[in-house]
Amino acid sequence: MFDPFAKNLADVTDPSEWKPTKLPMLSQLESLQRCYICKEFLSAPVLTSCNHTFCSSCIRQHLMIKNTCPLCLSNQLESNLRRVVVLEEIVNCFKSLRPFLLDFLQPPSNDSVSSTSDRTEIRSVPKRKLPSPETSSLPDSDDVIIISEEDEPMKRTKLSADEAECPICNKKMEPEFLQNTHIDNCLNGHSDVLPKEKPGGGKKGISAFFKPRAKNNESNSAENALKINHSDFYFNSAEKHVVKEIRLAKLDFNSLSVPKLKEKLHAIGIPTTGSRHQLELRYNQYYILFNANLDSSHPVDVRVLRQRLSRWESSHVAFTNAGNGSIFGGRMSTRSITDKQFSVTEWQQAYHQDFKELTRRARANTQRNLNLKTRTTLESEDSNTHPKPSQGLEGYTPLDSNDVVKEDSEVETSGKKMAQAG
Amino acid sequence: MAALPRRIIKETERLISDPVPGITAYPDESNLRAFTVAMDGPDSSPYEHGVFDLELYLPDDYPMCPPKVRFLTRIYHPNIDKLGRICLDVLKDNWSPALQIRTILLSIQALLASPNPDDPLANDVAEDWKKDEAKAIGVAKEWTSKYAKSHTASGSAE
Repeated sequence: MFDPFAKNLADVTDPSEWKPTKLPMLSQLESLQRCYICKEFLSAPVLTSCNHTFCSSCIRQHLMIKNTCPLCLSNQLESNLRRVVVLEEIVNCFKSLRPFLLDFLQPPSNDSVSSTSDRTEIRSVPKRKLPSPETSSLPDSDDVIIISEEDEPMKRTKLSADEAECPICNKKMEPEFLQNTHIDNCLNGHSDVLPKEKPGGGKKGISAFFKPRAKNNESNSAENALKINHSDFYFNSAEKHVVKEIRLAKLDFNSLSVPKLKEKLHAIGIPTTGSRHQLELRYNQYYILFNANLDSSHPVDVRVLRQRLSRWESSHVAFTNAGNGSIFGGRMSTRSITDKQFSVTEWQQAYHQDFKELTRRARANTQRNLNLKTRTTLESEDSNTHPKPSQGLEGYTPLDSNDVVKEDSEVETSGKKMAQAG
Repeated sequence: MAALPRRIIKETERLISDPVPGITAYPDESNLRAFTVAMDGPDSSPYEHGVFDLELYLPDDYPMCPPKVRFLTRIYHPNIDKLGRICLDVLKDNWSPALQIRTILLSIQALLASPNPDDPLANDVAEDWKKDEAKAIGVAKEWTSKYAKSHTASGSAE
């Protein structure tokens, strides 16, 4: 149908998939379990004071812009949102049952000829789904899959027994090195060169972070998905439903200086680079991710949140450089120099050659001035044997090469200063 | 533009597989956030039998902020100005993430059926409309046959 969609459509599920089955009513049941904002299955569902339910992150993001319920437009406050623990379990339970139900409820194969094409299309969905861990309700495994499928869907290669794949950069390496050194660097945005360390280590080194995926690869993931007892979790692990961690506070950016803001960002472990506007956007996004994560009974590690944050940044206009061949190319030239989003580094790169030329000319000028001075000092040396140091260049012994170099480097740094001020 | 939210993929898929009657919307091949829309003028309105071209763009923050929609075909309407910009509450203050491309396009079609000269965008048109509605409707009909594609022609082609 649509080429660009082909690869994405495979993992997009929709309530309409129930329509051709023996129980089309199930599409209603599924629609009710989906968020009205993102159209996905509810993740960490929360209830508004007007009794409408959304994904925690979706409604928080919306309330940041506007204090209304998206469905009934009544006024809403973020502080009034309440978790719906049982609904999260219901959704997870339904999600894990979904591929099986779809398979069981296929209409009998000796149907009318006209529907054949439809059926095969529908059928391929559960077939693809069954062996994959995507539909399992383990939150961690979801994350690992999302990373690899969206970044480089085709490049997922098989791992040899002694290697583990980094979920961020997809590089393969020793599990121990990955866990101890690489993962932290990668999450902090430093790409490191992986050393060829001694072989060995094996599976015991893989942290809990990677376990779900490894497990799913080994055994039948479908069985695993059904093994999780959702009712047991709800009725017998009530203590896990309490939020213990403290939520992130909303910041009043107007009362914060940039260094203070950077301090705040550093304190919660997210990057402090970029313009003030970017810092604010980054904090707000992390605030949503972090607080929404606390609304889930199955929260993910903060490192996964940070990684989601960096993925969000990479797809947001305010963080992407102009001229990447996107439709936003050429934005740089139209953007005012006083604009918040003005990229200083880009500007410096664009005018690097011009500044070099300026520096070269400045150097030539100094050199000529020095030569002139040499002549004048030589002429006046007879009458004045003690040159005054306060008079700048006259104070230097003209033949001292070190000083000339110093002079030049000063010109260069002032040139750079100009660049920054510009 | 790395990530395209699944919601957009889903909406697009549905717009194509199950189109709204009288409205077609296709995404641009180079940019899946930009749509080309063709909208039939509603029956028993001055815009009847005309097909109007619109462009629709989903900003980065969609669905947290509304899509940007503009008429490309010239149209004589008190709530649509010379540049094709549309004055519609759901495209501005009353936007809600619960709305979608489909509902927005239907709202625009409904706006064609019921012009609102009391809340105008094109002031001159609105004045004409209030002064002499019959005449204004006549002009709207004239513009429709002059600028909009003929509905019957595109209808038979499909």
